[in-house]
Amino acid sequence: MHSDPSPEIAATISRLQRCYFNQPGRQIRLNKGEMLLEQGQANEKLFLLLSGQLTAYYQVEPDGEFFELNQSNPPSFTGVHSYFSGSYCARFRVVASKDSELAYIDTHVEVKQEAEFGPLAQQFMPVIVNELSQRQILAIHAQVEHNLAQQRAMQAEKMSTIGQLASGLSHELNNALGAISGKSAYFERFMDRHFEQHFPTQHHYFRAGLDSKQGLDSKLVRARGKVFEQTLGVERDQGKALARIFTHPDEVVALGKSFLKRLDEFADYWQLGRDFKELKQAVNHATGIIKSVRLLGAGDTERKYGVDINDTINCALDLMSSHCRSVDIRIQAGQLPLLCASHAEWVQVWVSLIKNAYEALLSQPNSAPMIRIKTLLSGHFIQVSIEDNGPGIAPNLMKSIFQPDMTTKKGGLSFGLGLGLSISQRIISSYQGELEVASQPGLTCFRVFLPIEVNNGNN
Amino acid sequence: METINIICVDDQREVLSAVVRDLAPLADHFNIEECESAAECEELMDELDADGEHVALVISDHVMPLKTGVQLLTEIADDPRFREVKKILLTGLATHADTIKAVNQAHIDHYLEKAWDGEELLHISKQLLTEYIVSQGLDYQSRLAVLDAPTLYKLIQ
Repeated sequence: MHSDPSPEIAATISRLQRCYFNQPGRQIRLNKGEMLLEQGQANEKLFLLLSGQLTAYYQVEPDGEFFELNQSNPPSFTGVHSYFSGSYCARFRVVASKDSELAYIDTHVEVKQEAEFGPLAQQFMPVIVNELSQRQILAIHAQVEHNLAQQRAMQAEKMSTIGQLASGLSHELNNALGAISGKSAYFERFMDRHFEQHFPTQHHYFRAGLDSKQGLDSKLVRARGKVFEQTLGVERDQGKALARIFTHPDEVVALGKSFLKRLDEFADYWQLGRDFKELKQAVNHATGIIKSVRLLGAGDTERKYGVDINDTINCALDLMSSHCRSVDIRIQAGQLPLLCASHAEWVQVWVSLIKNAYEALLSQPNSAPMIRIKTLLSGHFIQVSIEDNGPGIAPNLMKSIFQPDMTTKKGGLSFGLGLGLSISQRIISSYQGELEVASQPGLTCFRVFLPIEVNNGNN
Repeated sequence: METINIICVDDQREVLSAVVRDLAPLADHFNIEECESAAECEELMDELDADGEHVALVISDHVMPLKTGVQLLTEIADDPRFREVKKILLTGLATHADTIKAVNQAHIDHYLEKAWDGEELLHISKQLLTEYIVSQGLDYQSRLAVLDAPTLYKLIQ
């Protein structure tokens, strides 16, 4: 783990090696697995590793477990502490992790070139300091790694709690929805048959309502209703009822006067059919949302072939739609190749980016908040851009937005999953993709580049 | 007789049609309008007002694109033409702050949570319509069938 010494240190080591570590009688060989020093035992020697590798272990409590500390490669010194501190006692257990060759000096060593380089301690000073700083760097690395591991563990725990809640909740909700959809389907079939047998005329309108296309928008119905009202001389609500069923007054005229007389009744049947249709739509909507939450919460990171990034974006949008309703979200999806990926991970990435954009939009008054999502295949990359017209990211925050703890959010509506940009970035880089951000007031764009070749499942 | 309107606002069509269905018993005496956005509702109110019609009640969802229900109802409350309009906020998701705003700024008359009870919505609507009709000096005799008797009794006593 030691980094290569600097040229100055290397020169010092090689001089010291020539002066002190080239005596045939003070050379030892260790086979892999043999112990050089035992923690707490006397040691009056300073070793220089010439070849092979040593590993240091530390025991926190007597009879406790030994923890691996670090490995040292040639040329490096071992026993620095015991030799120079004057304790002559090994701080660590040191074992040869490869067949190794070492040279050593003991306390009786004769000082050489004293006139030029000073006393022994002074001659060794650069390597002692180097050794200490190396160990300090190691300790810092270990601390950072420890903190990161702890963060990951906390995140994983949070996700698993959410996952358990989500799966419990979705199980219960799916049961309820199953009952609703099953019974309404039965009810619909029953009415359909019943009307068909006993009220064939009404049945026609019931079916028309049931089979009607995507709902008409209320403005259109009102405008068309007025036309019906004026041309046919009916009441306002009758005009609207007709506007829902027919597109042109001529269609109504063709049905004759008797139809208009019974319009209210027929409109009721039409609306009843329409209600069944909307009931199905509502159940589908709820089922879709539950599915998304479940995918997200379960943290299923298994990568399978056949994932369309567009699907994962739609899934994320379903999940966010109830939260982001005050924002105009539009998606422009290009044709994308299927990837070998985890659906859940990508949903998580999009949820996090969309949520971020949404919260940025909420942070300042905005008369027309919008998010634009665009996907396209460009050369060997899938490109996904998520743009918002929010206030932008302040330049001084730009560097820290990918930090795990970075947030500028205060209270208000929160999705509560605590998914940060740092997680998104980690997921993206695990696919060897990149996440870029460009921001100015009024336009912030997060762009994901995802290489298709490494993710097409052929590797 | 003058036309009295009830306007329902929700960006989800199936929810909108469900609200209208609950109000169906009122349809003989009131004109029930559906709007899918706050902007559409405002446009319609301008139109109805220009035609000299009454807007007695607005029932609005809160979380909608571009303009929320609380924003819409606040603007209605601040508009001198619609000061007397009764307002119900019907929502599945409103924060504490939204709710406070709805009461203090939009001066809503009633707050209902989704999923709502159809009977309750109808009953509250009847009460508010009764208040509107009496406060505007409109004819209540001919509309007794759809008004709330205890409210009416209290108001005309």
